[in-house]
Formats: sequence, C-alpha cells, structure tokens
Amino acid sequence: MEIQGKGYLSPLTEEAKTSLWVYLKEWLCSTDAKRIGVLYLAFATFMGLVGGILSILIRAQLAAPGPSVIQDASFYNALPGFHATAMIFFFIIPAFTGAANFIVPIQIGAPDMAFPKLNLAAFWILPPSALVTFAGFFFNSLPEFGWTAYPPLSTHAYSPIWGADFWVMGLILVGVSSTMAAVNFLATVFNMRCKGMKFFQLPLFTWSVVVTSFLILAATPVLTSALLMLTFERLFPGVFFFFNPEGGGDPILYQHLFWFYSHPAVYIMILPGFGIISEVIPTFSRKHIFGYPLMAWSMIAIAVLGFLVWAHHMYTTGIALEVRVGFMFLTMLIAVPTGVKIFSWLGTMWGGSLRFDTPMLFAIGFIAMFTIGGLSGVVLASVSVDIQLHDTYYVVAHIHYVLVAGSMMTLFAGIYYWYPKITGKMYNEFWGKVHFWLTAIFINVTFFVQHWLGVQGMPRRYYDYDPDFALANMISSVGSFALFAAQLIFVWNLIHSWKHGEDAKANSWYGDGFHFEWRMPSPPDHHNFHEPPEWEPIIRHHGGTHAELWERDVDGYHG
Amino acid sequence: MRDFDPEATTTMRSPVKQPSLKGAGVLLAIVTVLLFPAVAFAIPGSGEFVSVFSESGREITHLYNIIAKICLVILVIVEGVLIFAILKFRRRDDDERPVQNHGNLRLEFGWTMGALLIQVYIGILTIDVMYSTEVIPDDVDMTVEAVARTWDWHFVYPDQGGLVHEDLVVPAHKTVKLEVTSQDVIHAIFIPELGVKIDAVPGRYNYWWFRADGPLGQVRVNDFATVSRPERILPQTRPDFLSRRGDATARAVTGLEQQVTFLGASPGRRVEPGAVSPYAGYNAKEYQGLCAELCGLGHWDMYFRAVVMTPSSFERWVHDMQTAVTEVDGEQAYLAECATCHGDAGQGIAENPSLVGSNIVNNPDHKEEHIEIVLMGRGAMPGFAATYNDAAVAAMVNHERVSWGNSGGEIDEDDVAALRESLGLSPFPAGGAEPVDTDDLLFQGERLYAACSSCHGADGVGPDFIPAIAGSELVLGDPADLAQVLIEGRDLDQWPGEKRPVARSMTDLQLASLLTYLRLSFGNDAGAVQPFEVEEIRRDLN
Repeated sequence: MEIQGKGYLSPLTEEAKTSLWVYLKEWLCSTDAKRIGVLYLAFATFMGLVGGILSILIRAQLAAPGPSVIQDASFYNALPGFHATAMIFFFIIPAFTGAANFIVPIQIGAPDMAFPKLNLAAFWILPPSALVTFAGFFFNSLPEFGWTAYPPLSTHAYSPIWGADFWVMGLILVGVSSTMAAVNFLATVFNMRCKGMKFFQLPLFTWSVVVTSFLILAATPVLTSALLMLTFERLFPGVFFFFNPEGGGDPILYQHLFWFYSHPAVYIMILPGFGIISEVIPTFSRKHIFGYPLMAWSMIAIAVLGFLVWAHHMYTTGIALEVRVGFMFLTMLIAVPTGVKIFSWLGTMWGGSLRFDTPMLFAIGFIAMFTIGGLSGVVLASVSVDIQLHDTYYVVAHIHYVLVAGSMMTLFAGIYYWYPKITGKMYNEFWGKVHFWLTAIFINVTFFVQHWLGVQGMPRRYYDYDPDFALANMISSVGSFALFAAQLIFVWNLIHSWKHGEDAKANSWYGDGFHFEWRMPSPPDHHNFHEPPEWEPIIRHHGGTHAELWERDVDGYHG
Repeated sequence: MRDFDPEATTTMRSPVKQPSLKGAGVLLAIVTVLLFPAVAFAIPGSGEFVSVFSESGREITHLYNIIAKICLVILVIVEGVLIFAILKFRRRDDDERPVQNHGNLRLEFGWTMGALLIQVYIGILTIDVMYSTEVIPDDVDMTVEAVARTWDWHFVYPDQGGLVHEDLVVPAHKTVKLEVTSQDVIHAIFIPELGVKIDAVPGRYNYWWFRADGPLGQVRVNDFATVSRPERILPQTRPDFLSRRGDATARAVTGLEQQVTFLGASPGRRVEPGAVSPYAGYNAKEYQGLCAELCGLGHWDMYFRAVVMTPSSFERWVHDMQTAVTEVDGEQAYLAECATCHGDAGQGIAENPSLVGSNIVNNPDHKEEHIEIVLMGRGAMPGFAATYNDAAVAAMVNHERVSWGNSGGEIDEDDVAALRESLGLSPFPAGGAEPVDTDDLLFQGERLYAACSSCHGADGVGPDFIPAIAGSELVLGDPADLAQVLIEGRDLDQWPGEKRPVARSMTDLQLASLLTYLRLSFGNDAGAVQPFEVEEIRRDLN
C-alpha cells in the first residue's frame, strides 16, 4: 500500500512510503514539533475520554440518592480523584502543550523547537507516567484521597495501598515532562524568533505559552517536593514526620505546598486558552486584537498574582484572620486582569465583521460562560462567603465553569481553528456546529444547577446524599451524559474529516488568518519555512484615530 | 495602510450566504442559550443561601446576596454587550472591511479601574463580616469540644461535667464556642443552616462560634421570665414556589420543631421513615451537621444533629444525660460503633474479622482479652476507652458475646472497671462523664492555687496561724469534706464569721482540678478527684 500525505505528513523515506509500520515508527520517533504536537493531541484526546468516562461513572452514581450504580463506596471515593488527575494532568495540560508545539514555532517564524530531542523525550514520559498513575486500576488498589491527597489521609496509616504510591510517582513524572516542555518553549521563543518578531509583536497565543511556561517552571518543583515528602513519609512510616502531627509534623504544611503549585496550575490550564481566543476572535471579526499591550500585560499580571493567592483554598484550615484578608484582596485583584481580557475581546468584536464558524462559536460561548465562572470566583474570593461554600458543590460548579466552559471550550476553538492547518482538510462544519450547541447547552445543564446545590449545603465528594437534593442531581447527571455523548461527535468528526474532508486552503478562514501559520500551505512542510521569514511589524495605533481597514491575504498568499 | 484588493474575494473558500431569516433564527438561539444561565443565576442563586438560623449566618447570607447582585449586574452587562455585538456586527456581506481600532486608552483604563473599585468594595464589606462572624466574643456562654474521627463525631461538654455525646446540643440564643479537633485525619465540621464550618485538624484546635436560633417564641431571659421571640428578618429573596423547606415561622410549636430526617446510612444513625427523634421530648430544633473535608471511606456518612434547645430544655437534657446514661442499649452501641466493620450480624465485612463463633468472643477464659480489645483497639480498630463508660463497654461486649449464636457468657461493669485499672487507664464509671487526665487536672489546679498561695504558701505551708495543706487531715480525707469547705467556706477562731467560699463560682472541672492539686502536691498522696465526682458532691450538698 502506498502511504501518501502532504507537507509534514508525507513519509520521509522511501521505505516509509510502502510500509505502514515504518511510517508509524517515523511518527513515534519524530523530532518534528508538528508531529509531536499531533501525538500530544491524540494522547490528550484519549485521556480526555478516559476522564470523561470516570465523570460519567460519578454522575451515574449521584443521579439518585442511595447506592445505585456503584455499590462499593470505596470505589466511588477513588473516582473524583482519578477524574481530576486524568483531566488536569493528562488532558488539558498535554492538549495545550500539543497545540503549542504545532503552532508556536510557526508563529515565531522558526523551523522547529529549540531542543527537538528534549521535546520528544518530554512527550514520551507522558504515556508511561499515565500508566503508573493509573496503575491502581489494574491491581484494584485505588487511592481514595482525591487529587489533593491531603495527609494524614494520604499517609501510610490511612491509605496503606501501593496504588497510592504509584499515583504519587506518576504525578512526579508528569511534572518532569511538563518542566522539560516548558524549558523548551522558553528557549524556543527567546532565541528563535525571526527578523522583526519583537516581543511585543508576538502573537498572543505564543505570549500565553511563554507566560504559562514560566508558571510551570516556577510552580512544578514545589509540587514535586511536596509529593516527594509525602512519598518518604509513606514508604518509611515512623521515620519521616513532615506532615504527621504525632512526630511534630504539620498536615497544613502539605496544603500550603500543594496549593502553591495547584493554584498556578489553574492558570497553566487557562492562559493558553486565553491565547487561543485572542487568535480566533480577530480572525472571525476581521479586526486586530483590541488593546494588545494590555492583553499581554494582563497575562503577566495573572501569572504573578497567581502565585500569591494559594491560601484562598485553605480559608477554613484555621489561618489567622489578618492573613486571610491579605489573600482575599490578592485573589480579588486577579479578577481585574481577567476582566480586562474579557472586555478587550468584546472590544475586538465591537465594530467588526463577525462570522460564526465553529471556532468562533466556541470562542463566543467561552466568553459567555467563562464570565459566569469568573464571577462565581469573585463570590468565592470573599472569605466569609467562601467559608460557607468551601467544599460544597458551589466550588465544583465554579471549577467546572472555569475548566470545562473555559479551558475545554477554548481547546475546542483552537482545534477547530487549526484543524485545516494540522490536517490539510476541512472538518465537517455542520457536525462542528452541532457539537458546539450540544456542548454549550449541556455544560449549563450539568453545572449550573450545582451552584444551587452548593448554597443549599451539599458537600462535594459524597457517595450518597440527602434525598432533598435528588432532583438537582438528576438534572446534573442527565446533562453530563449528554455532554459526554456530544464529545463523541467531536472525536468522530476529527477522525472522519481527516479522511473524507475537503482540502483546506492555505489561509483557510476566508483569507482572514493573519499570523505566519496562515501564510504557508496546509499542512505545512517539514521545517515549516523554505526560506527565513521576516515579520512585518504591526503598528498598533491607540484610540482609533488612525484607523485603517482590515487587510486580508497578507503577502498575497491565498493557496 | 494598504488598499483593499477587490479581486481577492473571488479566491474565497466559499461565498458566504447568510439569509437573514436563518441568521435571525441562529441569533435567537444564541440569545436564548446565553440568557438561560443569566436568568438562572438571578433566581435560585441569590436567595437560597441556607445559613439563616444564626446571627453570624445571617450576616454571611446578607453579604452573599450583595455580592451575588453585583456579579449579576456585571454578568448582564457582559452578556448584553456580547449579544448586542453578535446581532449588530454580524457579517452581512463578504466584502465587509471593518475599520481597525487597536485600543482605546481611556476605555481600557476605565474598566481596569472600575473592576478594581468593585473588588475593593466587596473586600471591605467582607472584612466587616469576617470580624463580626469569626472573632470569638468575650462573653462566651458555653464551650463545646467537637472531636472528629473516622467516621464519627463526638462532642465533649466541659461546662457540663465533661459530658460526652454524639450530637451537638446547645441552648438557643447563647454564645457557643466550638473547639474543633480531630483524632486521626483532617475533617471539617459543617452545619449549613447555622453558618458553621471549620476544619478539624489533628494536632491542633480550631475555633468557631455561633448563636443559634432555637424553637420560636420560647426565649428565656435571665433564666426566669419567658418573653416572646425578638423580631428578626430572615433574608429571603427567593419566590415562594421555589422554597424547599417549610416556613417555620408560621407555626407555634412546643416540643421538637424541626427534625433532621437524613443522617446517612450507618446502622446506628439511620433515620427510618416516621422515626421519632431522640430529642422529641425537648423543646428543640434540629439542624443537620456533617463533614465537609474528604476523610476516606465514610466521609459522606458523618452526619450528626445540631440540636438547639430552649435554656430550660437544655438544663433538663443535661440532667437526663448525666443520670440516665447508665442504661445502655448494647445492640444500639454495637450498631453505631462496630457494625461498619464487623457487620450488622457480626459476620465481618471485607477483611475485618467475623465475631460469629470467634474464640475470643465465645471462650469464657478470653473475657478480659475481649474487653481489652474494645477498650484499647487492635490493629485498624480504634479503642473506645475514652468515649464509652464502663456500663456502655460492658453492654457492647455482652451484645457480642450472646448474639448470633455466640455463648461466651456475660460480663459486668465491674469487670471493665477492674481491667481499666490493670491497664492503667483513668476510671470511667457510669454517669456519662469522660475522665480527665490527672496531669491536666494538676496543671489547671496549679494555676488556680496561685490565688491561695499568698496565705497557704507556695509549698503548702503558710504562717503558723494559717492551716497547712501539706499533711492536713482534711485534705487527705474524704474529698467531699474538703469540697464542702471550699464551696461553703469555714468559720475559724481567728476570724469568726469571715467565711471564704472560694470555690462557689468554680466549674466542676475547676474545683476537681483544685482538689486534685491539693491532694497530690506538697507531699500529699491522696487520689485525684474527677469532675463528675464534684458534680455528685455538689448535688449531695444541695
């Protein structure tokens, strides 16, 4: 059989043209950032489905009060933790890393990442670390302490199972992988920008990856050290007492270390999404981004402030009142740059010429629903209110509006947006729109009602609950099933269109794509550019006094 | 600025065709979907906050309502601008070329400052509420210690002679201070309707306070007169058709006003349909309490009742608990504590050992070992020495020894007391009181004695005309005599009529500490005195 493919998809050797096996090996060992990006995305899609199935199991059990689908409370208790682990560490973060791998070198006019082999190594740490993290499933030894793993519950005395040790080890490995990727991105963007690509000319998606990489680099070691301390305490019981009060340790210390990573992790999961939206909205509005410098600075502000707010996850642990006041104000400050971004996207759309293709629909849906997540974040920042809502379903609703209506919708926007570039084919627009509408509607059905459950006082991570809450839980469960089913349409659309879709133009979006990736064929060739590109700087007039019209088909490249 | 090239349009992927009717349909759908959350946010979100049955809870609810309304306004503005932009700026013609605008400094500065101001405003409102709901007031009426363990709560009432109980029972409209801690992993006490939540962390105490509303129309002032309930406004903005719980203000009831109907599924706590609350005989109101911090397998099943009684009912309850606790239902205690692991019928769940036909349970020679396991625990099993008194332990052990075909022969509470002594545990006879550690008594007693040392001397020997404590017959004799002297004072020849009733206003715990200190210091070696003994002595004196 003859393997064909255009651009970077084409086989590199004669041998690979005839043998699928050789072609596959070529992919799995490729140091091409684009191919590694696709590997990341494929892996993330798979793990996203795994995480989705886990969430379906959770919602199935919670659909009605009493033991129903899952008879074993112990198995149920393991599910929320693994759902979170799968979604955070193996779905969202790798998916953004994948998109960044593909797009960032192109956007800065570079042939590849700075360290291609490091790039490949960073990816190949992920699948084994997923196996290690989820090892408990194969040996029926599941840790039941959630993804937060607070000691003493996670110490040897209360979780004497080695599935927990594997879980901790797996997370340490993921940290190694994402640190390697972050170093690589920073080296790439700092050293390999083409002529004319000054820092404040960088496309905002690349900006977001830069800021995210700094976050990963600074935060991950803290998580790793906390997990190592936990491992020492688990493996040598009675020798190390970091977190065990019986030997002079402090269980709250772990929470400080954990949230010092895990709060910035929230921004690691959303900033690249902000970047994607800042690419999609200008393209489909035919306008340059509104307030570019403020957009870049607000991401930096979010990153810096993100390190100073971790204790807002710990308002009920008994931290002194004055300290919590400080953390409250810092937390509220984060809403300011976030609000600036929302307003700037609206400003970009204002006066534009909007076209509602699937990526734009996801971008608009993101703005509409992420705002709800942001505002419930303001509610939760207020200490007194948060104490009442802490560990209730209100927090669950908030985090899912931020991560599902936020990260996941931006991810969809990005994948639909760059799908023609990655595959050289157009996806099926009709099913893309169906996917959007089902996703947008059922996110609200699933998660909105959880706000109400939260203010009513239903705690999270409960196997069974007061029958008073039955109706709301049923609504939420039905919504989650439909939400999951809608994602199958997405996966089918991606696979089907890759084979049967019509060929994509170079500048697929009606010639409105602006950055380098839209000035090369779809899919791009190996090594991206045939000759070193040069970026003609955008001169950004402020105040709309020197208004020019949107130009399309930059450099006359319309493929 | 480049000129627009009209020829380029012909190279588009596909010409845009958006008939206005279809476009309007799509936009209508968008508007509906976007408005749905906004409307939902407005109705159930703002008024359904349930912490309205305590003063601090009402403040928190009020704060939430303000913030929710601010957020709702911002939400409506953002969604409104978004919808307007979608409607107004949709592409009507493929050749549209919008005018570029890279930013507007005044606008950007404006919304940054606006967002900042709103945040600061919310923050300042919150600080006010934080201070008034969190700082423990000076005039605490009562202290309760809430102790969590996997997966159960018990509440210790130091002011009531160290009473231990499975539910939080407090008088209404009194400032109650909670001292929250854990015996194993991190838990969190959570009573949604009272606005109470704080983590129970092993190795440290966290504090919270509340003044709960009790049954209505039954407020006791100065322990004498009963006046009608002061007016209070419950912050409720929800429409009537959404209200879930019945309106308690409409009824005037004596006896139990609101009963918690869901307490999880553990055999000892489950509320069967139509069951009568154990507090039905008191003028009280029950709120649901639970655990909010993931603590393992039984996290979802750590319910307790927070029972708020009128002060008179509370006194009666305390009295009932102190006198009636000796009659323990062994089966009930077994179901509450042991059945989670050993099974309803002693069959053993998972790897936990079965009690049916077990040697320890059936062999009369192993009676003591059996008691010891229940007192001290073994392996993963916790011990119950500190939470169950002799009678309760005996009832629990007997239930195991004679049920499910076992025939190990019964024991009695003296056996338990004897074993406690041989194990070096503090005595814990019937009466519901948890024994206080002697070291704790000595520590507190030493501090109390500081007030006595100016006359009696730091080493228990004062000036000649003051009776020495060291070696005193009164001190070494019956503690009841010594307690009487301290409570009532004593006439001495030197100062006729000059009685000094130093202990009259002391709590039982304080007096017990002082007695213990006197009897065990300065070379004295009479026994320690427990608070429950003081309580008995006081009862005899009256």
